[in-house]
Amino acid sequence: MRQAHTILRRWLAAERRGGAAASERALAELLAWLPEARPRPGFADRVMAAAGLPPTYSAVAAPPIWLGRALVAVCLLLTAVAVAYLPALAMLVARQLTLADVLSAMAQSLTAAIDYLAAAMAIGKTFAALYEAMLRVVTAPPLALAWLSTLVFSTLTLRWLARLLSPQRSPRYVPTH
Amino acid sequence: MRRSATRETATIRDAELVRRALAGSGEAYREIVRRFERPVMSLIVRMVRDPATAEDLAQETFVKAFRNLRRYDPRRKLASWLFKIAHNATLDHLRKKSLDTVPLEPTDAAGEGSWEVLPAPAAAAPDRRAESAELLAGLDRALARMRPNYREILLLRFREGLAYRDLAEVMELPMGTVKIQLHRARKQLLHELEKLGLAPAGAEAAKQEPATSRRVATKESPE
Repeated sequence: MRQAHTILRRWLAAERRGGAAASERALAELLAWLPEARPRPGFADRVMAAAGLPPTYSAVAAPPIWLGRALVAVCLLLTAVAVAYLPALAMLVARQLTLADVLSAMAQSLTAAIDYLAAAMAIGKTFAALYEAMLRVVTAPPLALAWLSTLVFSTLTLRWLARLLSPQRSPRYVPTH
Repeated sequence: MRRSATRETATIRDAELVRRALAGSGEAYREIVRRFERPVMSLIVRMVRDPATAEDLAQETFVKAFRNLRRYDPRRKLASWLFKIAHNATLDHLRKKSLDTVPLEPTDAAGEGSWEVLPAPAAAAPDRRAESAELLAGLDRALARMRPNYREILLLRFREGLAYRDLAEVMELPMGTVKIQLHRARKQLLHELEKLGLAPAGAEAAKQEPATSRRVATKESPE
């Protein structure tokens, strides 16, 4: 990517030579370097409102009507087939399962849930112990002082950096004239 | 749904976009604004040198365009048609305010002349942008000192890439006049750059390297 200075030099050279095509190409490249202005956010909404148009509309993205109808028809067909097979499926399940099976499955689920709860409580206890230990260390006067000093230093440094960088990163452009 | 609508409209051609807008698609109207708000705003802001006024005029441009969308000829470029409306709106404003060119004396930095910008499309690395900032500020200043019609024709031709025929249509000038004005506009830009010290002054100095180029030449490899 050529720099603006190089392009300016090329344009000036082309102008001196009287090369119209080269001059036009270079000038176009040079002007492309000029920053592009943009309106404030929400410009499209303001235009739409001023033109009396609805603020949102999604008809462009809507699929063609025939495609929608075909999709609905396919879905209805699949549902009809599923419904037709539903009684047969229910009978099959009912033949396979007994009351004892259901009760046994429920009891197993309950046992598993209790086991999981106990495990979760054990993990919680471990974390609580860790938290207490860390709290004791952090609240010790020398450490707390160091921690606070670091916090203050970091905050001040961050503010200084932000003030240093903000003007350069500002989206506001102020020409010098 | 909305995002996919935006993605879809972003890829369709201008004429199709207009057709959809006329069919009642608000998303198509929005896409027209999204597609052309920056070039239209960039042109107007460099003409009126006031961001708030420029935004009002840009809004007026789009509103007028939407109200007259049926008059748009799809064989023509939508950009040219919008630029023509922007041109008329800007001209009316300049006539009303009797605002010709910006004053040669520096103005209040917080007031006239400041606007929100995007990085220049060709500018990638921050260090390169910084190196070129001085030159670009000078170039903008030189453009601001030019006659409004020269400034406009130059921007439309070389920044927005309009063909001679489109320029003639936008500015309502015969093709021959467009070419003459473009030639004069280039000369005036050169003259303003010379006055700002960004280009060597006169034929004698033209043999030398420009001051800014010499300064940068030490950092760059020769062309």
